[in-house]
Amino acid sequence: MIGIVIVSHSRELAAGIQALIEQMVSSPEARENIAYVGGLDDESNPIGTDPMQVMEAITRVAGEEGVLVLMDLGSALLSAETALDFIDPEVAENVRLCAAPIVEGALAAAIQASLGADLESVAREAEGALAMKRSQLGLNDEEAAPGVQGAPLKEEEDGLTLDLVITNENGLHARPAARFVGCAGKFQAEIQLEKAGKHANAKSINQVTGLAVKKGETIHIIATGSDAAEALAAIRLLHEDQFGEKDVQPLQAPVQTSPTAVNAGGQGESVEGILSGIAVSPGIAIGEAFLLKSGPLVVKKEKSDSPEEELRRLDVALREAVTATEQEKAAVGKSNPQQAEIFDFHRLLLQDEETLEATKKRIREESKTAEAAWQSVTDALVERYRNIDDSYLRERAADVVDIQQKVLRGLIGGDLLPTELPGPVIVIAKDLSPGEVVALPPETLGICMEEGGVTSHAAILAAARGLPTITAIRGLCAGVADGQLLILDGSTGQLHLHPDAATTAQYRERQLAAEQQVQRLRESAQLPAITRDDHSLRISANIGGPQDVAGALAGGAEGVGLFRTEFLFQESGGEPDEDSQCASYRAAVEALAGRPLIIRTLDIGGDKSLPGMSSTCEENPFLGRRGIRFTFAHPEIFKRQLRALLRASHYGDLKIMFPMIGSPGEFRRAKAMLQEAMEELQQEKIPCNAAIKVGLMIEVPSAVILADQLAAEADFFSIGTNDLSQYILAADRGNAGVAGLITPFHPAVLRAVDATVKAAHEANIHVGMCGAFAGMQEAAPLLVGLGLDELSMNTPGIAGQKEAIRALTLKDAQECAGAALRCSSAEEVQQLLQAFRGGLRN
Amino acid sequence: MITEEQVLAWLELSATVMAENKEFLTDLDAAIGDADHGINMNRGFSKVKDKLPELAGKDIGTILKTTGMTLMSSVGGASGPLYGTVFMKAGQALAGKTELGSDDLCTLFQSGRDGIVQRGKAVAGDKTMFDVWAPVVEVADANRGLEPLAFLEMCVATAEEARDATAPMQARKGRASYLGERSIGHIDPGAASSTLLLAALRDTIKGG
Repeated sequence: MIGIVIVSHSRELAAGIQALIEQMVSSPEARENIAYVGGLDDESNPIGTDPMQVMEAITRVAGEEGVLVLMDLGSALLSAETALDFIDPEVAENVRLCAAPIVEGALAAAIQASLGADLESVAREAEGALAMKRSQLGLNDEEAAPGVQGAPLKEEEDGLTLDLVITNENGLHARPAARFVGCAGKFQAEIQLEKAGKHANAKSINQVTGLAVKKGETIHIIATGSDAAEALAAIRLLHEDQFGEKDVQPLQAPVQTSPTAVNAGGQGESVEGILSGIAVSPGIAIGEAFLLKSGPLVVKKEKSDSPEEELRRLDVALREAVTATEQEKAAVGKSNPQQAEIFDFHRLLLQDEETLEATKKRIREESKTAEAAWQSVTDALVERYRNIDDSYLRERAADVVDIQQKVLRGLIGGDLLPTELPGPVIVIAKDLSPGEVVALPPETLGICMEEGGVTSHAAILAAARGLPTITAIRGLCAGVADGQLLILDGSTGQLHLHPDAATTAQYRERQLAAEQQVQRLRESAQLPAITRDDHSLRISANIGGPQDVAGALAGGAEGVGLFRTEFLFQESGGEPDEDSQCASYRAAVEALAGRPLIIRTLDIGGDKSLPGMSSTCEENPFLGRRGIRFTFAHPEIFKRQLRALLRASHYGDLKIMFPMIGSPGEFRRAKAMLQEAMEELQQEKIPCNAAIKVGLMIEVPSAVILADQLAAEADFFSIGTNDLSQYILAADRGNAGVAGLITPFHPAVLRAVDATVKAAHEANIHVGMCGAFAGMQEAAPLLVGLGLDELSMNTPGIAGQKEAIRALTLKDAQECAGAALRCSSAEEVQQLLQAFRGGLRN
Repeated sequence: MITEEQVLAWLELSATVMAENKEFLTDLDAAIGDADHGINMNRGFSKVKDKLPELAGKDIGTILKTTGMTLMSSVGGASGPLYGTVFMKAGQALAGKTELGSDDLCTLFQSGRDGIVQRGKAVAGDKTMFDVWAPVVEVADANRGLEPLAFLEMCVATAEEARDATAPMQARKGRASYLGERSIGHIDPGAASSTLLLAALRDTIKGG
């Protein structure tokens, strides 16, 4: 029988594989023919591989039938190859180095070898082991053992090849092509497809569909690279499953599969005169319909001087389009998984390297704007599809037009909207991009969309603008005429098409009551938060960027208590450079015109990630490398941000706050890096505020416990209740099973707040709160009573919270808070507050 | 001309340099690899140092070949087979020599580079030691006419520049390649150790 050599960096891993194999292989002869090489003889650094040991092992198990060598990674491969150079060429000729994953491959190989299989079969079985695992995990759709049946793999001079006859009814059309490309894309190997002398890159959807492979035609696949065998095994499985269409009625060409025909959401007109959709932003709008015409977009600006800016815009628009596509797929997928697959095709179109490179090239070399470059490249692509010799694939030109328009809308949509409306109207549109929602003129009363979903960015932005909005209303554009009177109920998701007088009157009354409340708060928003016995708190806003400052001030904010810099990073698709960071911080502090601004350094990790960064998968991300821990691990990013903050500090009252500090040592380390950045700037003669105030978030229990020590070194504290609650209560926010345990009303959390405030005041430093708790009106007596100096919250909550504080006295609030600290559960605290409110009312 | 004693002195100095730079190389490797390059190189060259007494009086080819064999079985990481092959190829090419001129050094570098390609299958821009060896061979080839010390000064300057130029590259080989874009911004440890070896040769000749 053949010999097998296992080469690992680790002696323990090699021994572990031996144990696994010996569970399955009991014959002494078979066991003797397997040699295990692992680790080095250096006790302090035992991880590594030694070519000489590999050579000895191969020599030991070598017989006439040859030897299969399985290796873990890196130097194991180099050592095995080196060993072959030293071995008798006659022996070496019969040694195969196997690309199989070591554990799966070793087991498969050992079993086959013990059954007496020859070197070729054993190698094939081992290399197919990964495909078996993939199939088990549902990454392929068939549970057949690979490498045994099916079309044979052939080895040619320039790679492994596989011939497949396509049996799908419509050939390798959009959906199976998408499956094929998706599968090929998972492998490193270069995979080429050939049909009748025409070649295509198997990882490019456009090239694959461009071959127009019909039923009964043969494709020739050539794969080269380390995982070529696995790639072909996976493709073969996919082919056996007819690329996912085995038990599926083929889509009848020319069926309309464009997503515009697919409706994700509402029930349509199920009740006479009422269209329903998804309610995404509450409020009532009564007014005439204004239909936004959605013809193809026209690119007006052809040239740009800044290719970098255009590349960035393209990147953002493409990513938005991919996200939107995935959301559409998720929405459609529940009811119609077949239809949903067309979105995979769209996604592949959006991510196609060839299209992307061509577009970038035009931006770089022809100074085109992102929209002009994208349009010209995708226009050409549409032409290519239209000229394909296959009626079904010709239809796919419509899909290309779809993604073209989707991206164009992200790039220029906002510019194409009417700058003014005929009067106060309800805007009716097929779909709106986030940019378009922002750009809608102020006369807009509300928004109805035929497409979209509840979590789309457009929906979130509509809510942020306070516009009552319904999305996913089936039949909207066909069912509504320009100028028709409508009632939009953003709370129930209903659109009344022909409201009668009684309904209209009823809605007007509700609208009026809501408006009065809003009006009252708007009028009182600028009044300070002073209790009836003259105790005042600063009320500030939480913002995500300088653009939020004006709204925050209008909403009654007296400063900014939390500027979350993550959004700047996320928007820029990674890390904005120092200059653009500085520009954002400066714009915010200048817009605040002397009011205080607390900027938190990058708080990534937990449930927040950055594209291209921090992608290491952590088992417990909330207990992982987040906040200051992330920035300590990426000092170059941290340093750039600190420099940008310091530079902006020259222009107003800017303070710096570090997140996730757990000990005085961490705070000192962060301050030392700040000091370093300051010295650099001073050397470079760049002005900054040398006396800048530096504080920290109190959100880790250890920081509460050591609050007195931290207070001695910090200029201020800000309590982050969301994280503090989950850490104190030991429950993961993201785990639905325990998320219900988390509440800031828990007396343990309140005691932590109390201890923090006391430590801060003992050291004469300012202490605020910037978690969601700070904005809860029902918590006002606790917040005031516990002695917080500042509450920072999302802008819409400011006026209400100020009003709630004005209704209190410090004395009552302190009593209430004192009683709450003595409670033993969140429920008791809630009951206490309820009783307190009752007392206020009487 | 570089004598057989100087080659031995170079290898001895290399062992010292690797010991001194153990932390430095390991730190580089920690950024983008498995944090053992300094440990491995130090282990390998201290074994080489142990062998040096036996090699006194042998020809340069034999010295280099033995060095290669020793590195091969003691370094442990991917640099074992790589540097092992470098020295063994160089030893084969310089078999029988008892002194080396610039022409011979050029041969040494060329065969070393070819060994790296054979073993590691690296190409330019993969962020490996090849990115140092390839430009050094080019410069060496163009400056064969120089005296060994001037010749080596040129080579070291080239190597240092090439080493630093690996920082902006994205690794496509070895464990660093798993890091993808995050490998950008760090010098390749193999490029750094190769530069150290070359500088040690220069320093040996400079010191007489």
